[in-house]
Amino acid sequence: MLEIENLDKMYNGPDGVLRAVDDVSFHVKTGEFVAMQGASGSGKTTVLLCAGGLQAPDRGHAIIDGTDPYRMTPDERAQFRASNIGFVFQQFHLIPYLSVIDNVLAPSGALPDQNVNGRAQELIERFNLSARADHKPSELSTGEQQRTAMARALLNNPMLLLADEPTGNLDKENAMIVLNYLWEFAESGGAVLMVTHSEEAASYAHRTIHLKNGKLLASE
Amino acid sequence: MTTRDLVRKEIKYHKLAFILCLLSVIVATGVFAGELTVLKAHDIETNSILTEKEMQTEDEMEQMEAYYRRIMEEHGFNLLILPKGQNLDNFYAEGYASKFMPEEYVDRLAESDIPSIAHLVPVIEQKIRWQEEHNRTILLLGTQYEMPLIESATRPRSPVEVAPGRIVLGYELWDSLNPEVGDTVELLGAAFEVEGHQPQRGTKEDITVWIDLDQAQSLLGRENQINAIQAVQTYSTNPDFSSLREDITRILPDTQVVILENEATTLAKAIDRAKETAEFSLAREQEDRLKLRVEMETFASWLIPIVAIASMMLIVLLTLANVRERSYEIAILRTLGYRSRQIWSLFLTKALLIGVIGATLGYIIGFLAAAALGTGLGLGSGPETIAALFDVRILVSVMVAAPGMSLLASLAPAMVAARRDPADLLRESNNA
Repeated sequence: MLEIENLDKMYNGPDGVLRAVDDVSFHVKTGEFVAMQGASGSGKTTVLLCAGGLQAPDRGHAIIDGTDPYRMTPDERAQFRASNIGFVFQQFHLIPYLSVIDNVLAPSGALPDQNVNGRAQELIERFNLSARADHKPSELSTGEQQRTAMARALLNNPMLLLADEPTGNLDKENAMIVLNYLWEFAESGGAVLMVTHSEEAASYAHRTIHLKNGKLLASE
Repeated sequence: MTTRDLVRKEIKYHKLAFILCLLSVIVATGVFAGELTVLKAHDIETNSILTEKEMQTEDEMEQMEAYYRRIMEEHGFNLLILPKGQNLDNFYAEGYASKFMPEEYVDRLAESDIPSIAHLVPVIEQKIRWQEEHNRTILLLGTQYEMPLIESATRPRSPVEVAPGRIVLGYELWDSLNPEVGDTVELLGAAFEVEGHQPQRGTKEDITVWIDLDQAQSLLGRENQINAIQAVQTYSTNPDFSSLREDITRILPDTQVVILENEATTLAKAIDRAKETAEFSLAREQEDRLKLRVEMETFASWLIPIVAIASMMLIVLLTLANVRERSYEIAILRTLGYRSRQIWSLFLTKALLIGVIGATLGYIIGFLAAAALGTGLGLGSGPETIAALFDVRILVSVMVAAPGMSLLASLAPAMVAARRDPADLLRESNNA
């Protein structure tokens, strides 16, 4: 499903060029839930952004289901992202002026021809948010906010779910709920790549890969 | 979830920023529409004032001219055309001209192109001895009233019209002879029927007899000769007597023109001066109104751009603040697959909405404020005033310029938003 091959990514920093990702290669298969761990600054988020078609690597490839999104135009890549990839972030990044249901429906703006209202309702119920459907993010608990973000990530039936510290701001109970959803998603035929610091979160994954100073150390 | 839904919901959420942008457009368009409508109100008011003044002046002039005609009727002729060789000292001393000129001069003058001569009366006048009446000295005056050259001109008081074979006596002669109307008197061997007499004037006219011109010429042995032409110059066309004198002597080189100063000529000059004053006053008023309009235009030419620039700057700042505030939202929308042009349209749709709503409200407010001011200026407050002040060009300008300005002001912030790299923002949020 996701093939990361010889990925390099450098940034221009105040102290000169910083090699954030250095020749990283790994695969995430369909039905697989992979955790990615490493210290802060080890390049985890950069790998995730490259994998999500959000940041072009300087070298190497991020192939999703046999397609290299960086060979597409920016608009084609945006469409590809909207159709195939779901994102979950530590900060949730819900749109503050939209209700829960509207936040869940937000990705439909990128694929306007789809009728996803039924799917959104289904996700709202599945993530136990029916009572909060008309509430704004500021009126939700952090767990509800992350569940809303999960529902939003799943609206367009993506094949790949990329999660960046999805439990970083959650209590244990809510973290468990989110991790279970990610595991379920993988089990149902999707693929999940999750960045996490938490050993407990990583324990939900089928396997864990470790990064240090931009290099892939090992895969468990 | 469409871009339109996002814009609508974002506006509802960020009401204050939207209202501030809207207010800035309302103020800018209100000032623009108001200023231009005030200028239009000023033009209408100027037109009304000047028309009223013109009518008032015309009325006053008509009244003065009517008064002049009345005075002229009382004072009679104001021009006397005499043979060139006539010594004026003798003329004034004797009270009549001793030299003669051809009677056809009257026709020549009547056919001339001098438009201000209203009446011409040929006269022959001589001092004679009335042998049949105790050989007393009298003035014999032969006259023939000519039709007015200008039909509308008022007929002057003198001379006395006398039919052939008839005679009119001056007061003194009538009083001393005491004839009845219809009596026959003899003069220079000819018989005349007394037609009447003139009232006492205390002048040489009291010892004058009036008879028909042809008969007088015959009795005096001066066929087809006259020694004066009495004339009336009308007031309205050319009160400049000196140029009239030149005109007459150009046509009749063997003549001289005596201006008879009387109340009518004095009044004519006074009317002329009043007319000049009225015209000057009107021109002054016109100039003052024009000056005021230029001042208003200058003020508007400063105020409108300043307000428009301030409005645009406010929109730029508010939109930039909006972009900054919404940076993570934009990043997440990009992450969710929104294309750059959709991000553009989030800001530009909102800008267009601000422009259109602001322009509509601004125009209405500006127009109504200007209309209220126009009412204050005395233009009235009815639908006629509204219709007179309404200018479709101002409306179209506002409805095109305001959304255009709003779009222009939002362009740079929208570009910033669309170009921001979502990966940078997401990395920033991770580090936050």
